[in-house]
Amino acid sequence: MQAEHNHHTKGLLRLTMACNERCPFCNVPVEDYERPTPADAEIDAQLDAFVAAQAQTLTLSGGEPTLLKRRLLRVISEAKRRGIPFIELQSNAILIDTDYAEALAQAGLGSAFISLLSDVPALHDRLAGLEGAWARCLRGIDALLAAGIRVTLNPVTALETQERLPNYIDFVASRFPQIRSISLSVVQPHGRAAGKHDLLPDYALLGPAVREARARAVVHGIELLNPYCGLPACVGWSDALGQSVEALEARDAAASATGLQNSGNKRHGPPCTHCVLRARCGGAWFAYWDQYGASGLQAPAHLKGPWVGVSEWEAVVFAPGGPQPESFQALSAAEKPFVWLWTDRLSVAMADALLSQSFGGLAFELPGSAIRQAAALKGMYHFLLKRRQGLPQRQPALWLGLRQPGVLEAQQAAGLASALKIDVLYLLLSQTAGWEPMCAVLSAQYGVEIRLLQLQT
Amino acid sequence: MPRHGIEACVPPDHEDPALHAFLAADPAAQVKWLVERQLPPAVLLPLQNACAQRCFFCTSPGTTGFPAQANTPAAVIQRHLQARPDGVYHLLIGGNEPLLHPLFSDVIHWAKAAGFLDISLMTNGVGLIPHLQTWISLGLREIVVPLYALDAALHDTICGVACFTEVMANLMAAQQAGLRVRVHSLFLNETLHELPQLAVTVRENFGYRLSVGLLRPKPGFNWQASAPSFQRIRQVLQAIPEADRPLLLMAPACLSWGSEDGPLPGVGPAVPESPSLLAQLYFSSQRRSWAPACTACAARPQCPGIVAAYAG
Repeated sequence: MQAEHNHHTKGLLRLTMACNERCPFCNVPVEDYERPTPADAEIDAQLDAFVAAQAQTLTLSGGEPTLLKRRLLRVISEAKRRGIPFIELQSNAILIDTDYAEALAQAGLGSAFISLLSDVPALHDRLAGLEGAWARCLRGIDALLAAGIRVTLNPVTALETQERLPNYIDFVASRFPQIRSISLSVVQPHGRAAGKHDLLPDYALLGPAVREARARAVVHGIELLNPYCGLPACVGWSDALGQSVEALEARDAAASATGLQNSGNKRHGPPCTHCVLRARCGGAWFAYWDQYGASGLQAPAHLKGPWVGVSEWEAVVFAPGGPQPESFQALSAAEKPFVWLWTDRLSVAMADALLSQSFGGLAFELPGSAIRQAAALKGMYHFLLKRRQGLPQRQPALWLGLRQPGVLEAQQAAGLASALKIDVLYLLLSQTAGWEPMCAVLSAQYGVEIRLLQLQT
Repeated sequence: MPRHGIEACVPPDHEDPALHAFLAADPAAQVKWLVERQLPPAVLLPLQNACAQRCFFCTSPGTTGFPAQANTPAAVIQRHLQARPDGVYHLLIGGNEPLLHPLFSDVIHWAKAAGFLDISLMTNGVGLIPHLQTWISLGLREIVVPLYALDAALHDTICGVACFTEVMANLMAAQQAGLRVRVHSLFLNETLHELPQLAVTVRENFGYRLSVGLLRPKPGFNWQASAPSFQRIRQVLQAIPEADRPLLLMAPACLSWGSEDGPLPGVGPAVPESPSLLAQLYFSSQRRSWAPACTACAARPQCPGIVAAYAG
C-alpha cells in the first residue's frame, strides 16, 4: 500500500518498453512505441524532474526494466543518492537470480512489484507468452526475498484465472510466507487486450472470487489492494474502500482524476446512477460495458437522500441559509462514501465554492412557489452548468426537493429537471394521496425520476 | 595449406572453401592467413561435437546429429594448442557448441599451459556459469554469443529450445565477472522488428554494439521466407539511432556504408569498433558472389560481395 498511498508524490520511470515476455493483455506493448528505449539523457532528465518535485516514491517500470541491468542499477543508485526514499521495481522477475537480486538490494531497491499471473504454471506461462516463465518467476521472487527486498504480487486476473483467485491467495501464503501484500489487478481491455473477448474477466464471476480471496487473505494475514487497474467498488470491494486506490483518491478533491476516470477509459453505467459508492468509483471500462453490459455490476445499496433518512453509506451536512466554510470542513471530515450537502439557498458564488469540494451530491430544497422565481434558481442553474465541466465521475448529483408544490409547479419542476438534467425531483407533500398517477405521467413525459414524500405533520 | 589433424569437412555449397581450409589449418598457417587479411594474429580451435540447440537455419546432421565418437579428440586438441606460434597469445574457440564438448574444461587448462593469455569463446551461452570464474582465471576474456530477439519466446522459437532467459542471465553475469560480452545476430524476417531493441539492449548492457550478419541458405529451411531484402534491412538500420546502430558482419558495401540511396552514417568502416574476430571469421564462411548490379560498382574493390543466395 505504501507506493499506492503515496501516489501524489510518486514518479514512474519506464526504462525501456522492450520486454522478454509477450503477455497478451499488456496495456503498454512494445509495438506501440516508435522508440521503445529512451536515451540515457532522457531518463536522467525525468529523474531530475522527480527529484525536483520531491518525489517520495520512484517506480521503475517498463516494458521489462531488468533487461537493462546496468541502466537499472545506475538509476536506483542515483535516485537513492539524490534522496528519493522509496524505490520500487515492476518486473516479471524471470531474469532475476541471486546475484541480480543482491545487486538490486545493494543499489537501494526497497520493493518489487512482481507479475505472478497464476498459481498454475501452465496458466501463468500462457498469460506471460513464454514457456517456463512460471518457474523462472518463482525463482526470481525467491531471490528478491532472500536479498531483503519486499515483494508485492500482481496477478493481473484474466478470464481464465478469475475463478482461481482464492487458490492463488492460498498458494502465495503457502509458497511465499514472507509476502504480505497482493495487488489484485485485473486485465483491462487496452493495448494487446483490446478487442480480445477471451481475456477480459466477467465481473459476475470475479466478484464472488474476490470476496472469497479477501476472506482467505485475512486468514493468512495478507493485505490485498484494489489498484487503479483493478475493479469497480461493487465487484468484491464495496466493504473495503480503504483498500481501493480509486476510492481513496476520489476522497481528495485536489487529486487528479487519474484513478477515478482512468484517463477517460471508464464510465458509470445504469447500475451506478443511484449507487451509494458512485462518488468513490470510476465505474467500469467502456469496453466492459460493451462486452458484458452490466454483468456483475450492482450497487450494494441505493442512495436514499436526506429527506427520507440516509442509509448507512450516506452522511448529510446541513447548510441552512447556504453553504459556508464550516459546511466545507464538515464535508471534508465526513467518513461515509457518499456525503450530501443539504441547503435551501445557493448563490452563484456558493455554487462555485461548493464545486471545488469533494462530495457526493447536493440536496437543494425550495418552497414550491420558488420554481417560478428565476432569482431563487440562479445558483442552481450555475451549479448544473458548471458541474458538467468536470469529469463525469466527479460530478456531484443534484436532487431537487420541492416543498408543497401545486400541480402546475410540479409540472414546471419536471420540465426544468428534464432540461437541466436534475437527477431526482422530490415532491415533499403534506398529503401524497392522488399524486402518484400524475407523477407517473410526468416521469414518462419528461424522462425524470420523480419521488413523492409525505411530510410529517 | 598445412593441416594439423583437424579434419576439414567437404564445404557445403553455401560455404566458402577458403574459410574451411583456414579452419583445418595448423596454427602457424592460420596466423599467416589472418595477417594477410589484416586481421589480428590468433589461433582458432574448432571443437566438433553435437549441439543441443535446434536453430532452424543450422540444424543438420553435421551439427545436432554429430556422433560422440567423432568429437574432436584430446590428442588433436592438445597438438593444435601446443603448436602456438611464438608471439601469438590469442586463442579463438569455436564449434558447433564448445561448452558441450566433454573435454572443454580441460581445453581451457591446456590452452593456459600452452601459453595462451586471451581466450575468446563462441558459444550459445547456455551452461556458461558454473565454471566461469575458473575459466576466467585461466585466460577466458571474451564470449561471443548469438541473440535473435528480446522476446524470449521468439528467440526460443528461432533456437528450437527454451534458452533465452538463461542465456541473458548468463551474459549479464559474465559481463559483471569482467568478460567482454560480444553479441551477434542475424537479419531474419522473423525477428527484424526486434532488431532495434536488441541493438539498444546489447549496447546498454555489455558496452559493445550488436553485430549482425546475413542469413545464408542451407538445406532444411526456406531461405527465401526468412531472409529479408536489403531494402528492408536498410529501413530498419536507418531507424536505429547512430549510437546504437549495429555492426554488420561481412555485409556488402551497398548495405554497410553506402549505395545509390546514399550513405548510412555510422554503419560500416566509419564506426570505430569492430565485430569480434570470431564472429567475423564465422560469417566469412558464407560463400559469396556478385550480383549483376555489382559489375560497375565503384565500391567493389573493397566489398566482400554478397551472400551467394542474395546475388541470385
